[in-house]
Amino acid sequence: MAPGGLGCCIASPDLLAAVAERGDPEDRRAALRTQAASAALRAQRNALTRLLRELGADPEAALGRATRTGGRRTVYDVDHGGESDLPGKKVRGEGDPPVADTAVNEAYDGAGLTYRFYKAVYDRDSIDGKGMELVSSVHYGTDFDNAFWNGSQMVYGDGSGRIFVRGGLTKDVDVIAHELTHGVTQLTAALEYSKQPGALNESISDVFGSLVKQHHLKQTADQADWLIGAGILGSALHGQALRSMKAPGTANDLDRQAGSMSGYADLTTTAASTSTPGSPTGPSTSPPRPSAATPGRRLGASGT
Amino acid sequence: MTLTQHLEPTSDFRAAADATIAVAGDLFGAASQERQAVSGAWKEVGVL
Repeated sequence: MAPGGLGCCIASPDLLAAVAERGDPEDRRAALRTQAASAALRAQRNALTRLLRELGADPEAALGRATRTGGRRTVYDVDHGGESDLPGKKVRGEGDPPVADTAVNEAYDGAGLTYRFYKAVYDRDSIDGKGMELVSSVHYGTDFDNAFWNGSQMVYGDGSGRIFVRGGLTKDVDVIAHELTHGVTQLTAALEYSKQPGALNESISDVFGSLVKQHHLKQTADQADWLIGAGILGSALHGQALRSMKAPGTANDLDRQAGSMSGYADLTTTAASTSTPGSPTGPSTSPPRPSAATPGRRLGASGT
Repeated sequence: MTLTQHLEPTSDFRAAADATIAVAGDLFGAASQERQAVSGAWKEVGVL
């Protein structure tokens, strides 16, 4: 398996660009700050991926996460630090009681729900299928409006109130599961983060994000809302969620996701090509819709 | 199975359609409603 396909963030570059373009000065600051930090992360990870590929290195060993832990969860507080400060200070380990910090508990619970889904439905033991520890860091950056999988762990910003409500990025299990699924994709199909493979990478994360939520709520595909990031939008966005797989392009007033190939377009940059008007989650996430019952079984990442 | 056995770094939408249809057929049968639903969905969104 080639290293690669790290995936990225819950808020896409084109959405952040649209907010920057349309919003008031404070919206623009929030979008650009998040965009800059997200772009730096992508560049760093792409460099790492290339290096690992050139060296022919085992990415897990190289990143120091070969330890098998039975999917043990550990949550850290990075206390507004950046990538070089990760993971931060350990605040809650597996089996520890809840702490005062809501974000810590939500990250812990969301990782647990995601783990349980993959184990119960696909008999997959954690992200790598071998019991990899689930590491999360909360309070990343300052007013950072994104959540991401950095190649080896989950990272959550606090939200600025503009793109996401404060504390919103750990509120939805579908957002958490979306990001953790980037880890699954990275360690299985390793879809490149560009053009159609990149769009598929994002789409798969949205589908499994929703499936984890459905599994948790014991919903059928027909009962599910198929929304990603419902109820966590900040003041710069108007709508019910970040994306909708049931009705692509309708989740909020800047949602430009296409519902079919006729609206699909590759974006010109690698970073943006996974998330543009028309691309990613549109075509490839629609399949669950008509297929009722248990679409994940049909469409998904079987761990077996 | 789609992610672990079929798709690879450069897979495109068509490859994903083929893979999910094949996996649905493996899991539920070639004439199954499930396989038809997956195939129909990819057609509906214009990939097939």
